[in-house]
This record gives sequence, structure tokens and C-alpha cells, in this order.
Amino acid sequence: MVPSVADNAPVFLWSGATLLLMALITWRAAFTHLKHRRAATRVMESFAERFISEFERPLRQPGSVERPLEARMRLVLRRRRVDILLAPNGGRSYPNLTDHRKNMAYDVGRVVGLIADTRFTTGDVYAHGRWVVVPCRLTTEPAEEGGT
Amino acid sequence: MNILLLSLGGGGGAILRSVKALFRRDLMVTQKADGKYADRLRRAVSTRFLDTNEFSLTDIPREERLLIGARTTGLLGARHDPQVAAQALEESRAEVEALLSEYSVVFVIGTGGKGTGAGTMFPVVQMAREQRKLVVPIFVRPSFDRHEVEKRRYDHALRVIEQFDHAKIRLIEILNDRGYEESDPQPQAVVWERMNLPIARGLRGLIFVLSDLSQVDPSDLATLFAGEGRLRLGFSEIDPRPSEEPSDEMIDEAIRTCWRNPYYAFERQTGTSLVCIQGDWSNIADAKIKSRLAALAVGSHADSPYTPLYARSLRAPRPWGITALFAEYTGTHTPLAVDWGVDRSATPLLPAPVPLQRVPALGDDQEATPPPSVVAPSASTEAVVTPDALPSFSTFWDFAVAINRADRAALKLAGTADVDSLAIDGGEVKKLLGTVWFRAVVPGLSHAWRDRVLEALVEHAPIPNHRVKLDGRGVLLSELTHAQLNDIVKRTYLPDLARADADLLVNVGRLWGADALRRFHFADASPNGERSKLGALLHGLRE
Repeated sequence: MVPSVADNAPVFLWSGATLLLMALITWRAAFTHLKHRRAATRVMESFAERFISEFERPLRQPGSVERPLEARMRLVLRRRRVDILLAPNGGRSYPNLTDHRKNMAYDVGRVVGLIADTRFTTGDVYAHGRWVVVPCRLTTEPAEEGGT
Repeated sequence: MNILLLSLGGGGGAILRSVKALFRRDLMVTQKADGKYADRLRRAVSTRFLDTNEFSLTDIPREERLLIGARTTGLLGARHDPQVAAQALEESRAEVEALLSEYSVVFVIGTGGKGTGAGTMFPVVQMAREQRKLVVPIFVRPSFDRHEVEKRRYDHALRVIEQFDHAKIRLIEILNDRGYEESDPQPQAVVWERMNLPIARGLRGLIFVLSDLSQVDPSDLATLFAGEGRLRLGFSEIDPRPSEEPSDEMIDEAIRTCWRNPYYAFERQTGTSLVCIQGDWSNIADAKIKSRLAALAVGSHADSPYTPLYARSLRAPRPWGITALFAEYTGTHTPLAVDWGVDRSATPLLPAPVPLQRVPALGDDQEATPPPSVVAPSASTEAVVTPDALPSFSTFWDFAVAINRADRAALKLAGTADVDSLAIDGGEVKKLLGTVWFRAVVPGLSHAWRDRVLEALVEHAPIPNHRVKLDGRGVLLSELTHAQLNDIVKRTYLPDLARADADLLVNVGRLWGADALRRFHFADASPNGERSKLGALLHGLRE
């Protein structure tokens, strides 16, 4: 005798509910992960943008529209790290580590001091091709969406 | 009027040495051509070298040295530390203030590279401002990209500049970066001479104007220097053959050179600016100089704020040329309160070849110059004015001057509708509208006063209906809108008489609105719409 669907209804019901619950838990975990990832990305990008802007500000020349430096950012979310890559632009020579290592160390300290974001730490700058790389690391959990 | 050229520290001292050498050379040439004029220039200017290191001043005459901070630095320098230099200045504050008090105009020259210049530049300028001196700061931003200074010192120089902007003090900012030309590499000494020449030559022209205030209204100068922003000195020579007019090519080249000075920071539109013309040529050449310079200053901006103040030297010895002090337009500012009245003996720039005696000013044979309208009132003058005192002004001119000085009684009256308390002469208003400072006063008048002033001007006399060129066709002044007038004044060559009337209408339009122009009456200048040359000459005599 083949059991009818009606006989197995509780089993199906429980299985369905369990699956739904698992899907909900997975979805929530993924959502939370993505939210944190998005928040971390935003915080790191914002820090890098502020860093680049302040680094660049004193180097701008009156009457010149050309940017004094080229800048990129490289996010390694897994390690909560943002690398800020800087290179001279428009025939200039700064930043570079060949003859400006001391000036770079001063300037990174100056900019970090001005931004005053204690969630970040910076590592030793190093050269990568024509770029000077300033490694920065986010050390605390970023605030939820809408937070600071 | 006495003018002080004051250098701060080693960098400023190097510039002042160079400026002084060039100025001495000019004076020697001038001495041969016109001894009196050379003597006037010589006596008008003094130089002082302020430093914290006595060894850097060994080549300077003792009377020109100003060593500060003996206790702070042991006179061995500020150790490249601006903070130490600032302390040294504080220690010698009384001495520096006493020096500044002897002069009406102070040029302060410093560089931002090391200690003394960077640490004392802003405080010294502030001291001069507090004493109501006309102060012209000349500050050199060192080149970081060319390894003149390290980044820390470069950033400090930028902070000094920010202090000026924050305190709304105009300055001449020289960018050392611009002295490095990849396309034309030169030894440093050549570059320095190239950068210092416009300063020395420009100062010569400015000193002429500043030492003889009949050349330009002091209130206009007080307006030029008001507010924040940058100043730019321009100089160019025009050397026509004796008894010949300068050619168009000469004028064009001179205008380009005067306008283009790549070493200065100057980003915004050109506002109120001083243009000094030196040379015995016709007013036609003058007009070409003015209009071509204006064309460059206005550029493609229809609403350009360029307001030139012209000063003319008819008997200046060669080298002739144009000196200009251009100011960035940073908005409308209250004119500075400048104390022009100080006149004490100065240390001469060069030993005088003849015993010092009063040499007639160039304007002595001209009409007596009215007293400067922006003179800091003495403490006692201010003390007798009570808020309720009845204002008493003999003329509208006096009233306007008092408003410009922020005299409380005048300001109170200006805010009322009591326009019958003072007779207003339309001719006087016409002259006043030619000055920058009065144009800054008008917006502060009550509606009743503004109406009354305009009425007096309209009733004064009809305006000659000059025929002017607009887009290649002749039109009468009365047919032009305010915008068209504005355009013509800025871009077109006009004879002096027509220009004066067109300027008047433009200013009225700006201050009272374009509709106010409809209230004016126009009179036919001549059957063909233009005055005869004889009529123009007679008009000139009547003015």
C-alpha cells in the first residue's frame, strides 16, 4: 500500500519549514556579510579619498588646472586593507621614494594626523613601479549603514 | 611720504640687496637726466634688513641692519625654526614697531624657506597694519619640487600664505617653481635677476606714485589694497626715439610684457589696479596703452570687475614705460584705514650728492591737492564725536569723505532721509563718481540720499551726446543701453572727453540701475555730433 500524501503531510510540512528556516538564516547571514562588506568598502574608500585629497592639496600650483599627482586605491576587503597608490603627474617628481623618502614619511604622518581617523593604521610605504604605495588597514568594525 | 623696504631673514635680504642694486642703478641714470627727481626718489625710500643672524648682515651698512632677538638666538640665527624666529621678533617687538611707525608705506619682503622669513613675515605685516600703514607684503613660496626646501618647510610657507588670506591681507606671492624653465635653462643668478627685475622696476613706478599722492587718490589706493587675494607687479619699458611717438608694435610688446609676469600667483579676475604711465608722449599713445591693457585685463568676461586707477608722470626721466599693480578681484571690501600723514626724515637709499633741501614736488605748479580723504582720525578727533552730535559738513565731498572714514555722525546722517541738511553740487558728484572709494560709499546711502545725489547729478548739466562706434556703426551716447556702454568703455578706444562721459554713465548705471540713465539730458555736441577740437580744448580748460 502506497502511503498517501495526506499521510506524510506532517513530514512535508516540517521539512518545508526547516528548509525555509535554513534559507532565511543563510539569507540573513549573507545579507549581514554583504552589509558589513559594503560598509567597510565605503569607509575605506572614503578614507582613501580624503587621504589623496589632503595629500594633493599643498602640491597644487596657483593657476594650474593639472593635478599634481596620479592616485589609485586598491581594496583588499578580506584583509580590510586599502592600498593608496600615488605617482607624480605633469612632469613633477614627487611623490617618489628615490629622493623623497623622508618627505613621504613626513607627509603621510601629516595627512593621517589631519584626517584623524583612529580606525586606520598605516604601514611602511613602499615603491611599486612608478607608484608609491601607502598601505592602510581598517582595525575596527565599521558602523552599520547610516552610521559613521 | 616715506617708504620703507624691509627684508626679513636671509632670503628676503637677498632679494632686497638685488632690488636695491637695481634701484641704485636706476637712480644713477635718473640723476644724470633729472637730479631733482632722483633726489626725491632717493629721499622717499629707506631700506632695512631684519635678521636673527648678525653674520648674514656683515655686508650691510650698520644703520640699515635690524637685528632681533639677541637673547633668544644669541644673534646666531633662528636655527631654521620659524617658531624661534617668531620668539625673537616678540623679544624685539618694540624696536620693530618703532621702526614701522616712521613710515607711511611699508614693503615687507620675505621668503618661506627657512626660519626668520617664515616666522616673522605675517607678524611684521600685522604690526604694520595695526599702525595703519599701507603695507605691501612680498612673499616667496619656495620650490619643493626642485628640492629648494623639504616638504615640512614648504607646508609651513603655505600656512603663512593661508594666514594672510585668513586675515584678509593682500600680498604679492612669488612662486620660485616658475623660475625653472626647462626650455630656457639659466644659472640661478640669472634667474634671480630675471625675477627681481620686475620687483625693482615696479617699485620704482610705485614709489613715484606713493611718494606723490597728487597722482592718485589715496582712498583709491586704500580700496585697491583692501580684502584678501594676490597682487601682481608688472613693468615694461617703452623707449621711442626722441620727439617721436611710440609705435603700435612698441606699445603692444610693452603691454604684453607688463601683463605677463609668470612668477606671480594670480588666479582670479583682475579687479581694481594701479597703472602708472611714464613717458613724454601724446594722450593718443596713453589711450592706446590704457585700452590695450584693459582688453587683456577684461579678457572675455563681459562683467569684468577690472577698475584701473591711472597715474601719469609727464616729466619722468628714462627708462620710460608702464608700471602696474594688478589686484585679484575678491569681492567688494571696505577701504583700508590708512594713516598717510606721517612725514619724517628717512635714511636715504644712496648718499645724497647735495645737501638735503626741500625739492618742489612734481605737482607743485598744479592745482593744490585736497587733503587725503582716507586719513586715520586722531584719537582726540574721534573722542569729540558723540552719537547724538549734530553732523556738520560744509560740502557733500566732506560728507562723503566722513562716510568713507566710517565717521559715526556721517553714517548716521547717511542713513536718514534728511537730504535737505546739505547742498549737493552736481559737479562735485560728477568728480566723486570718478573715484573708486566714493563708488563704494554710494551703496551705503539711504534711498533718499541716493535719489538726491542722482538728482543733483542729472540737474548739473546735460551730457554731451558723443557719437561713438558700436559694431562698426556710429551711435549717440543717448541711444546706448547700460550693457552697451559697459562694453564700449571696456573694449573701444574713445577720445578722453567721450570716455569721461561714458564712464560716468556706466558708473551711474552700476550704482543706480540701468533705468537711471533715462533721467539724463543729452546735448548735441556739435552739428555732426562731435565737438570741435577747439571746443574740446576749451572744455578741458573749464573742467
